[in-house]
Amino acid sequence: MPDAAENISSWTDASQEAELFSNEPEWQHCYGPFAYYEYAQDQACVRIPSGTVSGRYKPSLDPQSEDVTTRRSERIRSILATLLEAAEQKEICSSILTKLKGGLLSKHFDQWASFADEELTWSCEVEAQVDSGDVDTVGEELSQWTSDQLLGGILDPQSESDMPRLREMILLAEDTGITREQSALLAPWLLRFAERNRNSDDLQDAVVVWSAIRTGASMLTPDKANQLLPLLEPGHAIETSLVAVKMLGRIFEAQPPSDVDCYPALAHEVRAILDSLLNRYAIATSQSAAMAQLAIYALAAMACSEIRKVVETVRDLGVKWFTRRAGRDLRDLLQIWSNRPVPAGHKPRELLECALQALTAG
Amino acid sequence: MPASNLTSERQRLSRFDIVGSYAENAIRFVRHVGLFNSDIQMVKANDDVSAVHMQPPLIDKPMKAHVVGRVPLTNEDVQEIAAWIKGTTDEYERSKATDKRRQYIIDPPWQDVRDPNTGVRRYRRYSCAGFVLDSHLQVNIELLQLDSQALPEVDRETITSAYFGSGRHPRSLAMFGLQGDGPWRIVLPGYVLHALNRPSDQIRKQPYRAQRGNERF
Repeated sequence: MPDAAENISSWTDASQEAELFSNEPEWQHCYGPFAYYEYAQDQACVRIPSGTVSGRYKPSLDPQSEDVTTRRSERIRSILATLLEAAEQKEICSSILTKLKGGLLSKHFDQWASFADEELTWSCEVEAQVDSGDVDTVGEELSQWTSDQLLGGILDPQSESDMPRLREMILLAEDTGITREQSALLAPWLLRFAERNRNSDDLQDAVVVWSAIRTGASMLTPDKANQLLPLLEPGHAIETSLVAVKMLGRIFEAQPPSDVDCYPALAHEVRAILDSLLNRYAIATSQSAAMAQLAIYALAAMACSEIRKVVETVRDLGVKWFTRRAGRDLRDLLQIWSNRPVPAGHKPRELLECALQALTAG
Repeated sequence: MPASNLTSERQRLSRFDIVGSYAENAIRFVRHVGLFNSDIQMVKANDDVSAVHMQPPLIDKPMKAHVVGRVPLTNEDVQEIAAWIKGTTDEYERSKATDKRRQYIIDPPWQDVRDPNTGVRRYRRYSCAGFVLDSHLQVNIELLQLDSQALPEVDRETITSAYFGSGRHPRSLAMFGLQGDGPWRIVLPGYVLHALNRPSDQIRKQPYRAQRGNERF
């Protein structure tokens, strides 16, 4: 079979499909959710889960060949191979196209039925629902890695020389069960990575930086929560303070403090965020309102005694929904603390109850 | 009633009204729901409307509208839901760059993913209906009774034919929380529309108990 890339003369996207057909095309089944339609001897389109790709190709066999089955088989294979090649070149390649490529190019059309793997078919169908604007996807090889391999790969001194692969590994770490010992090594590395890369102008880095903060922070015990301090700083290309303040709240909700005012440096920074956002103008925008809510939650969860003053300010703002939200968050926190294996100390619980009363007083 | 099928006649939609899409291969089976995310707009059947929805991933991108429903929400409710969405979307941005299915779960309709050692939350997995239900819980509106015994049984065939075409996919079903051969008591998107197909004051007062057949609307 000739190289698929040589067959491409032009490719159009799904939006131009209507121009190709005067009538509804009669789609032919070829594999799983894939279908094809040849609208001329050398022109075809292939319907894939995320849309339709159409274009011109060079038939690889003599169209007058008497072996109809072989001709059809080779032609469809040629179309699909060309599609995959074009999809890759246009960087619209989704994970499922990548998975299919090896199988399609190495098998005869007549064997595709036996090639069909039910999970693969399922994946194709699910892909029909998902965003077609894919960027990198986790490679098959990485998804099979153990936590040891993943840890080794991320902590490798040379890991940042291959950023696409490192991005994949960091994203995968968020879904991987990591032991306590591994977490002790990985958490500070992830948080430092986030700090080093938050000025990146590469859009793909934002999702990785945020994921690194969530994963790294989720591994922290309260005595290590100070590692999030640098990430509370505003003014970077990738905004990290919202994720950092959110994770602070989650650290202390899951691992409640035994006493009040144990984390003064963190409390000071979170209070600074609240000082700038607790006004009617700022919370009129959803981004600032979200940040303020998360900061209130974090301050309450670390049992900073300033929470009483903060909720009084919230109450005095007179923004009903914002006050209602703060109240619900604080009640939820109290409930979560009650259900933890090691519940919050008496003083933090008392502080939280006082804050709730202050919020509803007057 | 605040829920209806869209027709060629335009209907007015407001921010965070609920929009549903039908499955292609099953009559009136609501396959997908999301939150309308635009200022007031007149919409008719088959329009692509701006929406926040768990596709997966959770995205702010147009979806096909066949059915709509609303509580309706107050302006304050809308502000609160908007702030909640802003505070959670970083958790879903990542799924554009990784396996989107990891963010998706059918049973339960949402579930927190936590660090196994500390118990600290990392992100929340959702079904499309789960995301819509959770968004309304943020403003104290409990649309559906979610305890499993209150939900009707749904068999494997219903799920696979409406969502994923025919076939049996035990490994993938398990990935979405559906263990064994079923039937399962799970939340389907159509239930959300039926929950909204009641007088407004009732919607806020009492969560709806889904009935067999409510997957269609």
